[in-house]
Amino acid sequence: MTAGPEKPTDSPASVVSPIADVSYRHYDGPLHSRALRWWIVALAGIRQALRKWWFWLLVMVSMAPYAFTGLLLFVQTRLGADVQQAMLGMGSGARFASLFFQAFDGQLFWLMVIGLTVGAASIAADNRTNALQVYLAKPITKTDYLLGKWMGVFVVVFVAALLPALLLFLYCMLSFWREGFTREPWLIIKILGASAVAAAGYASLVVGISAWCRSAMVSGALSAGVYFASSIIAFVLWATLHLRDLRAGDMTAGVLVQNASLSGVIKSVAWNIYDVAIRMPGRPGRMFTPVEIHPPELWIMLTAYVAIVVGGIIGARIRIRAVEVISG
Amino acid sequence: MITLSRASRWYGQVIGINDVSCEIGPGLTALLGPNGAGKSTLMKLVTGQLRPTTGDVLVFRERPFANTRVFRRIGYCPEIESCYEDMTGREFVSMLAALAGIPSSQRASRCADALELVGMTAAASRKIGGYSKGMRQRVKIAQAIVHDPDLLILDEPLNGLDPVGRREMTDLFVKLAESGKCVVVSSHILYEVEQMTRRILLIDRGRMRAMGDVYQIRALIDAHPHRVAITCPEARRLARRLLEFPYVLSASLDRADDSRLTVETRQPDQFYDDLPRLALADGYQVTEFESPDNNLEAVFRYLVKG
Repeated sequence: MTAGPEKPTDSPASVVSPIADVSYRHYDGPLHSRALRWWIVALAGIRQALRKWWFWLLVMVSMAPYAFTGLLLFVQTRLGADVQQAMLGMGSGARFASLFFQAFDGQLFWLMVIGLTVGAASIAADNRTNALQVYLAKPITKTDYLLGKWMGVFVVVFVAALLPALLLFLYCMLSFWREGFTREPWLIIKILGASAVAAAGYASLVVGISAWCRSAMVSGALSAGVYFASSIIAFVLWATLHLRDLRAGDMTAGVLVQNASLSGVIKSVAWNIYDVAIRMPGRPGRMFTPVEIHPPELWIMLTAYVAIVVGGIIGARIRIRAVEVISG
Repeated sequence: MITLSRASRWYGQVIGINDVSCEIGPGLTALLGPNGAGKSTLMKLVTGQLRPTTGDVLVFRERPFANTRVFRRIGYCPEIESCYEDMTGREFVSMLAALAGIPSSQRASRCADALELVGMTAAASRKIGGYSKGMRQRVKIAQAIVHDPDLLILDEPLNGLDPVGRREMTDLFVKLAESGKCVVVSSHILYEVEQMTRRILLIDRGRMRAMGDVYQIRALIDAHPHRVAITCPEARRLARRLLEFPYVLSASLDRADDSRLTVETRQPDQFYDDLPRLALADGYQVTEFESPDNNLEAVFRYLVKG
């Protein structure tokens, strides 16, 4: 083995200059035309959300209905079959789907809150800072930008809805394999569908409103206002017109009015996907004889749902402009 | 690189720019004009964020409006108040580099280059929310140059920068222009524009008032003779001698300071040749002389304010 020539150690050429080279260096690499440019925008929004500790707190809180359902299921395995029947009211039909839907219903409000935290600022902050000028001067289209912002909210809400459901699904699969869990083979599809319905509905609402605001706070307040106002109006209408129907044990007409709100529409579409009946205490004096409530008409709720989603997206698209155009 | 052919843009009843025709090629061009003159409208037309109401705007021989092929070759630094507070400077530049199409394998090194160039390497990992105005400005410039664009549009890029930063950025823009890029800079700070370039595009109330070399433009403004301010203890005697030159139109003494003399001439070059000779021959102690007219500010004042 021969030794190579020794490298000079102190010649001027080999000494790295302590002064940084700040001369302009041209970029001679490629510039790709990406098909998924919107994903870059979405990823930026998602990353910002994931950094906030209170976002994780909300996600944990939103999991509570599923955790509670899991706990009930765990408790019932320790009790006799009669108590199980009375406590959970599970019939022989799609009893797991019913459980999952009730947990989903309990989670819906928190999904809205998560959607607000992620999406209220999404376009409003760009409007306030004129960051749209930066975005839309890059090689992306308005559609890429909007899709990115929408997906940023959708993905987060979808995962927040799906994750606890999947955990519960796993628990049920492992614990109730022999108790009829396998008789509901479409449950996982229903879970995916319901999660997507909630995520798309809230993403469209929040992004649609955000596009028309210049402040995250105003955008969040407006979105929450629409959510709560529609819920209150629907409840008041239902209580005025249909409360007596519940007492009479017939909720066929009342369920449509009861769900004529933003959250109600999303819930109803998911309800139709789960295709289960909810049992509520009904007739006076016979509290343990529940009233079965079936989901509202799918076509009506689906029409309202599509209107919310498409309206939100179109509303946002109309408003997204790099510059404010004054007319009149 | 940029061609505007009778381009106009109205916002309803409000005129943004009106019948502007010009060509801007490689090199550094300063876009000047008072507030509301139409500078930003012109920049937005060039960066494809607005469509002209009438006329045509071409960038790299293509219409830029919503044209991603053109956007790929443009770097734009808008005059925005702030940007993504929760992102670090590096993340911000990296995200926009990704949108510009730089592949992930080269993104980190390219972002590092751009951030180093604007002097933000040390602060690149900090959140933008904690940046000073000057640092935000630097990061905005970094995102504009990260993909090495052929056309750089910079809207008030020196705002918020300290004197050292202004000098550094000015040098950078000049270097970029010298390397063959087209750099368009809008600024209100005229003496800094003067350090950057002699080529200006002056617009006022939506109309283009002048375009070209600032000194040539100045020479063409016959309505306003050049003024030269001279400080000399024997100002009165010097004024009398200067009025003997046929091209000197007037000489006036400062009432507050009788050693200050202001001369008006239509042939400034001839005057600058003759003044030292006269001072040497007659022994005048000229301690100071300056031409408040022979600069961009004067051109701006005469063309915009009339």
